[in-house]
Amino acid sequence: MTDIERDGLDLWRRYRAAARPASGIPGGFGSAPEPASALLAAYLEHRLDEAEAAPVEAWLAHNPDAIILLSELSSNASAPPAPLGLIRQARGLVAAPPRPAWRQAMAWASVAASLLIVGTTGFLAGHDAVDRSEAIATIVGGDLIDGPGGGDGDGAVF
Amino acid sequence: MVQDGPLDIARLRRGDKPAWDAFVARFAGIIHAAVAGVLQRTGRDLNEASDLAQDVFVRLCKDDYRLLGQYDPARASPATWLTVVARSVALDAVRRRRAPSVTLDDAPEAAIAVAAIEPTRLRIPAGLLSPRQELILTMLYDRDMDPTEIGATLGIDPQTVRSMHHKALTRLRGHFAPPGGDV
Repeated sequence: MTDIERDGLDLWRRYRAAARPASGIPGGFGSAPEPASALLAAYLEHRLDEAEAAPVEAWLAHNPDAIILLSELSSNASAPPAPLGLIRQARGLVAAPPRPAWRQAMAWASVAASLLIVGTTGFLAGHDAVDRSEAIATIVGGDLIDGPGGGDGDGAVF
Repeated sequence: MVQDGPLDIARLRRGDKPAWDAFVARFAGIIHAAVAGVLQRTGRDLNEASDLAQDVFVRLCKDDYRLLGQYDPARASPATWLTVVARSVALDAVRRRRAPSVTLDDAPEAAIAVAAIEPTRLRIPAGLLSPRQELILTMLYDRDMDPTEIGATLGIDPQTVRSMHHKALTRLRGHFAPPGGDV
């Protein structure tokens, strides 16, 4: 540390000790109220003129945490991804709007129509299959009784 | 600064679910990082970060999105504003969880005694240093930041930082110089 820096540090400490307000004394070092979030955010983005910035700077001078925040933001660091659990929970704060009644009725109607179509198709397919199997059985049965050549008995297998 | 696009506050305030989901996905990392930063600096358990970040989201949509409605895109980007809000919520939580207060009867006498006001404390004239000069001296001497870092942080030239530092010390030297002595 150079002599100038040492001198500066000494003066700064004396100023801070002298200017720190005792309890109940308004004004002075450390008594600036916390600025509103919007004002502080605007300051952090250098969007305030000197007069607007003065109360923010008076507050910042005594809030090391906020100075660190300021440094972090100006270093242009990107935030790491948030835990998935946080994202899931936060998304759950706003519920999806309930669907209108007519849309729900339409949904149930489409389910019922689907079931009806599936049922009818299944019934018809099953019925058709029974008819065919009966016809085949009749033909095959006839062949087995009469033989493939008809009723003269030449083709009888037993 | 964190670069980010505009925020559709109107859709969010209407309770638009897809807009809210996109908002959460976009800013959860920033909010979580801001909250974790406060916890780290105050020596708290970092496992609380997710709960506190969730508190931030709760506050944003509470009372018909009142807090979210306070966001002004003309003043700051959403990322910066949300960082400030998250930091504020986290600090509030940290303050609330501090050691319970002690009743006046249980407090030791020394703890409640009012310190005598030293005459020197009243001798600092208002406006001896400007808020910016105080801020620069705080950053230089309390946070060990150099003029280049300070300039980048405050959005001013490092040479301006050095100049303001010099002027501030000159004023302090003049103030603390013994009466009749050299400045």
